[in-house]
Amino acid sequence: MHGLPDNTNPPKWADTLLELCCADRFLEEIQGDLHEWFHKTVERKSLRKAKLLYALNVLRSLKTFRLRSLQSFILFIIDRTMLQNYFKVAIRNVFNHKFFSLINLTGLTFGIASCLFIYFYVKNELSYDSFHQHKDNIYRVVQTNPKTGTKWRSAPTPLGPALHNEFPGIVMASMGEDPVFVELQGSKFYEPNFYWTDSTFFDVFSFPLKSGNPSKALAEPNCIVLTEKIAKKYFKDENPMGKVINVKIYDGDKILPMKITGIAEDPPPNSHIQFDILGSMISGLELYKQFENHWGFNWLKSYVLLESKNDVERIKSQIPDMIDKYLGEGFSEQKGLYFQPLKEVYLHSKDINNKDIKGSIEYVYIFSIVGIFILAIASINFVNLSTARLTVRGKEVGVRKTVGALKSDLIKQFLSESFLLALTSILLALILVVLLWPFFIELIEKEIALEILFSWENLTALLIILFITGILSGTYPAFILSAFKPINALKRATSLSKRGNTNLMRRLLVIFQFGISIFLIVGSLVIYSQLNYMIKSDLGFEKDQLISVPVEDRGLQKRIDILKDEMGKVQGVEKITASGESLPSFMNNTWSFSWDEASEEAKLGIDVVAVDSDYFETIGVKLKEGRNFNKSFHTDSARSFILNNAAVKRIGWASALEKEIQVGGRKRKVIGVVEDFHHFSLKHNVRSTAYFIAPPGNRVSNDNLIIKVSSNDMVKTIEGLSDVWDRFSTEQVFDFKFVDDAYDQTYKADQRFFMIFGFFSVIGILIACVGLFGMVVHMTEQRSREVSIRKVLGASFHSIVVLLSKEFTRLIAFAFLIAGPLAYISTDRWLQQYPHRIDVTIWIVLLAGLLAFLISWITIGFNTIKAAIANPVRYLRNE
Amino acid sequence: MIGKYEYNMKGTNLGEFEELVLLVVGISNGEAYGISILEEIEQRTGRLVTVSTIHTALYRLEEKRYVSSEMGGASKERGGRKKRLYSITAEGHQALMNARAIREELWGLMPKLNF
Repeated sequence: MHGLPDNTNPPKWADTLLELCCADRFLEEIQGDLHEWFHKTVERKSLRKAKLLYALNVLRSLKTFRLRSLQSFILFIIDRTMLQNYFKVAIRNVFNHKFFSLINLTGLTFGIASCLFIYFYVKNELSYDSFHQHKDNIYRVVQTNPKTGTKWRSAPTPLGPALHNEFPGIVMASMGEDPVFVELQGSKFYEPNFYWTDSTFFDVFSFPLKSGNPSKALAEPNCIVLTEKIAKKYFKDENPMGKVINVKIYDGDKILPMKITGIAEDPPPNSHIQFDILGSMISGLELYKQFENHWGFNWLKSYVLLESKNDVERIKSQIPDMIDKYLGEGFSEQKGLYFQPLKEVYLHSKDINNKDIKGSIEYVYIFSIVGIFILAIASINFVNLSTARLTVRGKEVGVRKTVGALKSDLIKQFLSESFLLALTSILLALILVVLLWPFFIELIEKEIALEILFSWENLTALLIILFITGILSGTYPAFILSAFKPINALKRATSLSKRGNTNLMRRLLVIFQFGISIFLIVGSLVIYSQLNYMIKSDLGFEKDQLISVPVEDRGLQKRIDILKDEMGKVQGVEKITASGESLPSFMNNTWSFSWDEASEEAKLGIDVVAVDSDYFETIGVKLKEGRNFNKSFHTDSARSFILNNAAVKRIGWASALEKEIQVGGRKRKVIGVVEDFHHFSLKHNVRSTAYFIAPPGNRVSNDNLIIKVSSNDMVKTIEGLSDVWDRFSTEQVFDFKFVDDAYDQTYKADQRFFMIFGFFSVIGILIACVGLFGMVVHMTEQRSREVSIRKVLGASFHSIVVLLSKEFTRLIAFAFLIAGPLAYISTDRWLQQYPHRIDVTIWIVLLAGLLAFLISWITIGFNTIKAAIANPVRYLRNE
Repeated sequence: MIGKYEYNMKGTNLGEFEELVLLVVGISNGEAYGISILEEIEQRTGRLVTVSTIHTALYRLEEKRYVSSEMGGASKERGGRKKRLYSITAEGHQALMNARAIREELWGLMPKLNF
């Protein structure tokens, strides 16, 4: 084989190709002749040319009739007898080294299971709104302010007809949110997911109807479509079609008898549009006639279906003209439209002002990275342990080589071993996933059916994971092991473990592994601290012992003062006030805001909140200057404002007292300035806000009671409040929330993010520790003789422990030096999204490093101590 | 096998190149193999032939039962592969003679041409 100098041989790849493809019957003759021809050609032509011609000749020889059959092709690649042998040996090896196999299996199983969970999470996030037939041509209409760059989701009534007139091809579906009360044979149901819409809704979206005709169901006034869920709730198994039910519309303050004309399938959980009842838009528009030509009242969620993607640019360019035409010249400077593709709505709406979308592409990225990290940690365990076990397997390799195993045979053998382990891990991981599924669902708070586990797509994904882990983790050890010189392998086993490059590689991998772990620890700590900071931070008012009671009942809103007085008499109520916004609130009313000509030009907005004169006192907000509202001053209820500090800062006045500002087109005087406080979570800055006293019966009027209760016997107090409520309202059930709880709720998504991130970080770190544990067991086993001799010669317990833990400690220190700064930079960047944030101090990073050391010392400790106190005779007896 | 069927369709006609190869096999009967045939043809005719052409011709001749083959010795420069040694069969010999007879008959009919 090695008779001729290497460089005068024909190209190997061409030969391999020939061997691979050519049937055995022809191979012998063809290859022999070609080789002979090659050697003759080399004498006459240049080597390069000869090689090229050789390759050409090989290709020419591969006539169809000379090719191998498929069966012989497969058999040629996989030698069946040997394959059986590989697996037999692989299984034997797994059982012979139970401890290390177990460590490998545990790591890989948990790694793959975590990866699968993350995969399902990510897949579910990416699947949002993808079930619509026209998904590529549906766009959400988003309003923009070209000057400030702010975007908001809702649209006014006249926008639909305007778009229709200007761009005839488009189909527009608008949904008007309007909570209702449904009365049914004595029972009442509060339905917050009620939307006014029309038949175009079913043209644009693919929400199929179980019964009813989608093009007619909402064509007539006073018709409603129920989802299956609601139909079941109202009518059990009866057929609801054609029945008439009374629907009380709060904001419209009207009871409408509405006929059920359709039953829709429940919207899938991965739809950002969720509805329970749809009412015909004609009735809605009739009810809110005053907004028919009102461009300032945004209450509709609008979507358009375009004929083709190319229309977007054309329509976009014509929007400014349309705005100018319908609203007046120059309006396009402060108002624009943006068509957001449907597939971006769920994950890419961070910059759009809305409260109903909770997806975030950032989370998807972060979790994908965490998933890859975990799989990497698990695979590194495998690689490290396998190469570390070289010393033990070395002899086996030596014997195999001596009796004639080729390098390729050994590689195949080790690869089959790693595939066997990877396959077992995948099967175990699948079982684990099935068992832990309910826990996972609870963790991510999403409805995902377990059935999605068993789809072709996922099976393919599993196979890919199998091959990646199998090949990645099997290749390196396989090549290292198979490259041994048999003589070395058969000589003292320990000489092998000193091989510099495998040792270096192993160290690098441990550094990488612990680098990732430290990164995950820093991440978890930072997310936790930020969350904790936001929850614990002072909101600018006293949120404890405050409860907020929504008054949705329009009739009751007009008598809210009397209700407030009555409730104030309940025992345990310390203070009570009324406001147009609950706490916390997204702020429902933004009016225009100006104080001079320049600010008029800028078209600024200010949040307005109706309050009672005792509002600031009740929630514990201090006045910075000026005075509070006073009911006995007649002017206060009509012509005065109290601004918050943010508004004054925005104007730039040193003092706003007694100055006049324009809000909502009306001139009013500033009588006081309050300190800033957060109407919503700390995820947003405090915006300019104006407080005023509004008469009842208005959109902004008081519709919340905010009550300060004393801490003793809260239950009784709330019962008392409920009793008072029942005397006043027969339509709405008494509802309340604790303000501090409600604020905590606003961080729910962040909390869930922390839970998921923390959970998977812990798993990743545990897997790394399992691997470290395996490495340490291996190392102490290897060095047992050395340790015994040292002990015999008088080494102390202390010095042995140090000796054994020194190397790993050094590696983890390295990992910390690399991962620490990286984690610092990336978490700092992540925090930038929060206007109120913690600083990633060096302390958090140091704490993470300390944790990493502690965890690894605990992992190492048990074994090093065991080795240090072991009786040296045990290890030296056999020498 | 589709291939087999096709070659049988061609019947027992000898192509021009096949005749050449068959002749060379006949000359070094029992000793001829791919490369020796290739060199002989290249030397005698000055034509450049690829290995694969020779193999294809030999394969067809074997299909027509004009040559028979057996595996011969290996050598180092053949990468350890054995030779396939070809010898001419009686049918092969007959076919050559037929071809020659046809030609001689035709030559006999050729008028004397002056160029």
